[in-house]
Amino acid sequence: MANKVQDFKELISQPYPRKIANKLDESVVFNFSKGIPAFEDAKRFVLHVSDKIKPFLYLKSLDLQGLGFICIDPFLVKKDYCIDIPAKDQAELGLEDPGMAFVLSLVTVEKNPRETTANLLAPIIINMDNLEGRQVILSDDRLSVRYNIWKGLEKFSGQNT
Amino acid sequence: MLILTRKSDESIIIGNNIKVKVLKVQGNQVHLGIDAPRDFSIFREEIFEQIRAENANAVQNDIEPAKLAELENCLTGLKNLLFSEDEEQEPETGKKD
Repeated sequence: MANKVQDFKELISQPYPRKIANKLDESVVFNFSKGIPAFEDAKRFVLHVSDKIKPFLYLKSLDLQGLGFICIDPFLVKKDYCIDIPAKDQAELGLEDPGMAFVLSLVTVEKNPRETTANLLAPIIINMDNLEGRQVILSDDRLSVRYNIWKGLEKFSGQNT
Repeated sequence: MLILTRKSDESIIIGNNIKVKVLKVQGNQVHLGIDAPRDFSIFREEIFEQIRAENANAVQNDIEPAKLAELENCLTGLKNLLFSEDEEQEPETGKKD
């Protein structure tokens, strides 16, 4: 089990791929042409990246004052996470290279950290080639909008593979 | 808004390439078969509502530099909790040797 925790630590300490990392800067503005559900007017976002909060990031709206979200890479919280981006969303993002898809889950931070959840059903996908982003709704009934990160990590570190 | 009546096995056509067929009516449940091009998104309405609600839940209000530090503490706390709890179990497995 100790080794698995070590594996996870190594995983979160890994740098982002260079072509994505190059654009992880607060001066880079992402365009969400349709906003996101419930905040349709929020069309421009920036990402705050900080070593202190890594692996979490902060996605901040430039249009709606005060609007921002904590995010995390969903592949970190659920080892067997898998997404099939619907053709419509892929076309609207202009996504041609899967390697340029930056996938994030919005995190609902609860007072009790053990209850903190991530939205795995509707990830944010950003095409790092053209900086277009949107919230994509996956058609996988097994994925939850409130996936418990704590339980996920327990499973992660308890894997007997 | 169009309102019409259909029986089992009857369909409606929307535009020229979307077909919605009533497969079965059972009490207050209706089974629908939907035939649409791949580039149309089709969801149960409550899924969409669930996502809207969760987005609203997830909002972290205006994070000023001072508040960001607070949040950093919170998330660092979360990370520490997650890892330290896991690590506490290490000695147990070690002692078995």
